[in-house]
Amino acid sequence: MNKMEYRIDAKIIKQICLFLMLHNIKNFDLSFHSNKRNVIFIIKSPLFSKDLLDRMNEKLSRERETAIEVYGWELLGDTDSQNELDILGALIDEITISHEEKMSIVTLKRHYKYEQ
Amino acid sequence: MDLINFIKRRMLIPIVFVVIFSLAFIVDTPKNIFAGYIRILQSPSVLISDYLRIGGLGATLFNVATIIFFNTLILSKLKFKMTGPIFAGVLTIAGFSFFGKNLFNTLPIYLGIYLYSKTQRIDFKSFIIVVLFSTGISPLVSFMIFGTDWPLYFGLPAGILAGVFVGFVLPAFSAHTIRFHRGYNLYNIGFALGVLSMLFAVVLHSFNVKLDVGGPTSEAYHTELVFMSLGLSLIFLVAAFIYDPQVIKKYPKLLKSSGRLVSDFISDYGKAVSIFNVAMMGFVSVGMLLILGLKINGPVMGGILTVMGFGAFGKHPRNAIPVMFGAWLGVVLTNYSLDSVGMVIALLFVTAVSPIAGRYGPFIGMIAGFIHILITPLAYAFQGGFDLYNNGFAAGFVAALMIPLLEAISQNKKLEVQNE
Repeated sequence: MNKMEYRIDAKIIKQICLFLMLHNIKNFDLSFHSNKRNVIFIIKSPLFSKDLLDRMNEKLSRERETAIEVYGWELLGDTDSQNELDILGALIDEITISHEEKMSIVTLKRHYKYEQ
Repeated sequence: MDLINFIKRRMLIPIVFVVIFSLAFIVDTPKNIFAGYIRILQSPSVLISDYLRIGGLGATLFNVATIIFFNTLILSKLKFKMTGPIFAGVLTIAGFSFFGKNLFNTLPIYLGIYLYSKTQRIDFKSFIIVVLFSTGISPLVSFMIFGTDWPLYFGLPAGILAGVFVGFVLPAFSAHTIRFHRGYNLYNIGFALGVLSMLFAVVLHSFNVKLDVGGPTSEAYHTELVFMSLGLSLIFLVAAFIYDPQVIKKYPKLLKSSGRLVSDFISDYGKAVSIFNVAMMGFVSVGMLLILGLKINGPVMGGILTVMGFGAFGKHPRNAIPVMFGAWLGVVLTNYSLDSVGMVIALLFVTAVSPIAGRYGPFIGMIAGFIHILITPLAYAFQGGFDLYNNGFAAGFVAALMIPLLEAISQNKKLEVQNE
C-alpha cells in the first residue's frame, strides 16, 4: 500500500472524529477496514439526528475530485467549524446510511488511487 | 447546438477568449502585435512588468488570448469538467498574462509538474489546480534568460531548469504550506511560490546578480480596459440569468459561505450562481477603482480578472468588501500611498484573505485587510519579485498570524457558552 494513502486515511479518521465531536456526538464507534483496492470507514452511533445525517449525506455524496484531494488533503482534520465536510466529500467515493434498531450506521468507501 | 453546450460546459471561457483575441486585432495591426509580442516574450517579466507598456495593448491582449487558448486546450485534452478552482485558475492565468506570464516562461514549470507526477506515479490530471496556479513564478525563467548578463547558452538552460525544478517541488510543497495558514489564504500557491522565490533571490544575490525590479506601468489604455472589464462582467451577468432566471433567489446561500479553501462554488451552488458571483466580483473591483479614481493598467487588469476568477473559488462581496475596505484604511491611515501600483493592486489582491472575513465577520476582515496592506511591500522585498503572486505570499503571513489567535478566542467563547 502507498504510504500516501495511509496518511490520507489517518486524516480522514481525524476529520470524522472532530466533526462528530463538534456536533456533540459523544458516543460513537468508528471502524477502519482497508484492503489493496479500497478502504471502508464505518461509523455507528445512536445519537445521529436526521438533520445531521442529511447534511453528511449531502456533503459526502458529491463526486470524488482527485484535484481537490491532492491540493487540499492536508487541511483535513483541521477545522473548528461545524459544517466543513467539503474537502472530505471530495475524497470519498460512496456513502451509505442505514439503521439497525436505535443505531444509525454511516459507511464511507474510498477507492485507492495512488500506486505502490 | 454543440458549440453552445461547449461554451456552457466551459463556463464562458471560450467567449472570454474570443472577446480578447478579437479586441487584440481591433485595437492594433498584426505587424504591431507581432513585434510587441516578441518584446513581451523577451522581457525579464519580473514584478512589476506591465506588458501594456512593453508590447502595447494589441500584443498584450494577444498574449492573454494565447495563454487562455493553450490552457483551455490542456483542460479539454485532459477531459476536465469546469470546477471552481479550474475556473479561477484560468482567469488568474489570463489576468497575470497582462504582467508577467507568457507561453514561453510558463511551459518549463508545467514540465516540472508533469515529471513529478510521473515519479510519484500519480495521474497528471490530479495536479491540475497546482498546474494552473504554478506559473506565478514564471518570471524566474524569463529573468534568468533575458534579465541577467549571462550568455544565452548558459541563461537558456539555467532558466528552463529553474522552471522545471520549481514545477517539480511545488505540488508537495504547496500541499504542505496550506497548513501554515490553514486554508485562510486563497492564494496558497502564491505563498508557496513566495518561499521558493525567496530561495532563488538569495542564491542569485549571493552571486552578485542584480535583481531586476520591473519597470513603469502604462495607464494609456484605462478607458479601453474599464469597458473591457465591465463588458466581461456584463457577459457573465447575462449568462447567469440565461443559465437560471431564478439565480438571484439562490445567491444569498453562496454569500453565507466563508470561502475558506477548498471552496468550490460551482460544485456547491451550481454554475448560474457562481457565474453571477463572478460578475458581482467584477463590478465590485471596477467600482472600487472608479470610486477611488484609480487608473487601470496591466497589473490592475490582472487583479480584476483574478478577483473575478475567484468568484467561483472562495470570494464573494460579503467576504471581499470588508478586507478591501481594511486595506484602503491601511493606505490612508499610514504613510503608504495609492500613487504606488503595488498598493493599488494590493487593494484587489487583498481579497486573498477574504475567508477571514467570511468566517470571523467584517470587522475582523477589515483588520486582516489592514495588516495585509502593511505586509505586502515587505513581502515583495523578501521574495525578490519572481513570485507574481506577491499578495498571496503576504496573505499567508496575515492568515498565519491571525487564525491561531482567532480560533483560540472563538473556542473560549464556545466554552463560556457551554459553561453557562
